[in-house]
Amino acid sequence: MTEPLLSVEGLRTHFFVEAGVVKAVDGVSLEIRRGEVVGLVGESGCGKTVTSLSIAGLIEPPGRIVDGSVRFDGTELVGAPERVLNSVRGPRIAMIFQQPRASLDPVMSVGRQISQALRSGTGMDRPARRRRAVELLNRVGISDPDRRVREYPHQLSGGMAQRVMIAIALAGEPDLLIADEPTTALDVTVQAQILELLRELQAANDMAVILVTHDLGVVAEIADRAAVMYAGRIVEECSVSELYDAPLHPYTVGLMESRPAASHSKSRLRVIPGSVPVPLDLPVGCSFAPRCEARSATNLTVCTEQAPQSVSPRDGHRVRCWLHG
Amino acid sequence: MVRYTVRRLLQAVPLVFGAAVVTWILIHAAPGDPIVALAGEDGDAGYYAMMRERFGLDRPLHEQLFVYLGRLAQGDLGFSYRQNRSAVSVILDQLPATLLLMVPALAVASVIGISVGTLAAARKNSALDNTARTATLLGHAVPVFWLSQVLLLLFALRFDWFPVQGRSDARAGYEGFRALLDVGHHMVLPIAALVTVYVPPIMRVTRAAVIENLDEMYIRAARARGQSRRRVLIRHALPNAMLPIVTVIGSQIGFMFAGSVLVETVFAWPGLGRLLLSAILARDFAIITAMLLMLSVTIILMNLITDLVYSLLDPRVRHGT
Repeated sequence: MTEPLLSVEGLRTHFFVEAGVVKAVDGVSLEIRRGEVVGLVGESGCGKTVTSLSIAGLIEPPGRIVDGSVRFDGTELVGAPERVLNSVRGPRIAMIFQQPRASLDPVMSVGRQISQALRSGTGMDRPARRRRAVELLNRVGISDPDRRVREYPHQLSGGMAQRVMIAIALAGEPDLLIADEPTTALDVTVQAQILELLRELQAANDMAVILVTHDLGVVAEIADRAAVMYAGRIVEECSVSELYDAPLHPYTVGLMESRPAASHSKSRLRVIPGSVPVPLDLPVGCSFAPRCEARSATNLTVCTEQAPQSVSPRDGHRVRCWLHG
Repeated sequence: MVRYTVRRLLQAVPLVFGAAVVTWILIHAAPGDPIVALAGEDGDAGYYAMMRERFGLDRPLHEQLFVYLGRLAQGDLGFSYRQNRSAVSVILDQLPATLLLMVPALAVASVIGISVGTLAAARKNSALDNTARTATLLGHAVPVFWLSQVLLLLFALRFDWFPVQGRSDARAGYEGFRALLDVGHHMVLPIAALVTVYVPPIMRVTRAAVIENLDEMYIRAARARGQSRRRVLIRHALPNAMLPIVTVIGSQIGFMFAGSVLVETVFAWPGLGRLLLSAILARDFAIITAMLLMLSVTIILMNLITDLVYSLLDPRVRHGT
């Protein structure tokens, strides 16, 4: 087997705030192969976004990567100098975000922002970059790209802004696209179009994608594999079909059951009792234990005493749970 | 854009007249008699009366006001009894000298304020930031007339690096380039004093606005496409921070005549500030009202120009969203 494109190991990103240390990401390991689409799933505040920003080296104080490694195509990114990171971000690892309009500079034209992404490394002159910007806008399905390229972000709808963000991301022909909740802020019909576009571009460019989302439907739609995060850790990692057919972790089971689509009958939606633990004050042992129904059913004492290790009960399926370890 | 400008200018007309009425009333409510100031105390009563009649000062006050406003509507800003010519020509004579101080001072202050403010924002709470902020506070706190005198005592009298007062060295009789250099030499200290006054607000607003914009999501997105910290600061955070910065600089231009009074007086600079002071001392009503009117017109114009600059800087303002 070839070396993975991205390999994250034991990543810990902590935020040093006045109230204490927020362990937003606390021991995440993840591997992504070329051309693979991985869904990083979890509730708000579970550390998905911090994980993706850590991979791109975009953590700002008071946050800091305190431990772990991010190897991208043979290069260690944790602790790498800014110069190296600046040359990786954009041409090799691109990102799109949840708020596409807020992610575009309001006083810079769309064309110039695409141009910026073309600057590094391509050696194109200004007119060439301009032509390429129009091509890219056309590629992401924006009509009348010759006009749009001169427009400013406030003239775009949310869906168009996300298409522009995708065009910017594609500009460097990256090996890895990190899409952080790319459809969350968009209308439902637009969501589907953007997902469709992402899937098509991913296949055409053989690009690996980390899709950060809280929406299991989105994962089912385009991901090959899923990693479920809870309280700064990945609690389960498996193929999307296993996620749907045979989830192992009680949290994943709860997530799957709380989907509105899961029950077509008019029965009440199931909810996971309790809420995500405050990251300043994580429980000893398994962080899901206080909310875990399986634990209360089986009365395992180890859950509240010791954090479970990641085990692999099935091939290609990893889980952090005492029920399976 | 043209229509907008015209509309704004028309809106300004009643404002200017309002300002004229208020200043006129204020000045006439103040104690002091221009005729006594002109002819000297304990003069001949008949002479006083003759002078009053000649300048229309014997008529009731409200009549004087209407005469004044009537002339103002025709573009006549009044007549200086003291200098025996129109207030406008007196003011226009002094204007270049004031601009000679104000324009470079404001330019230097803008460059210093914006660049230091931007650097301080990029390194929030660093030694540089703290030094800059302390210096700004000092600049704010020190009265400009005191600072001007300290500059004079230190750099003109003690070290003899710069001339003490005035705009040029009359006795030296320099010509051509040497004369220009002489004026430049005289400009250094007053400009330094003015820069100290102008920098603090520009720097503080720049710092605050850049810090605010550095937290925006488009900054992170720009970093995510490989832009360096420096480029993100200069190409994204600073341009987005320009609106409040332009506002501060615009308001400083508006008040520049007012601010020049103290500095020009200390350095005996023959500009509008000194003219205003001597006009007040001499009860030269025409000059005072004309200058205050010009001050309000400048402020109104600067507000308009600031708004027009907004639309150049920010496409959202340009497109009216």
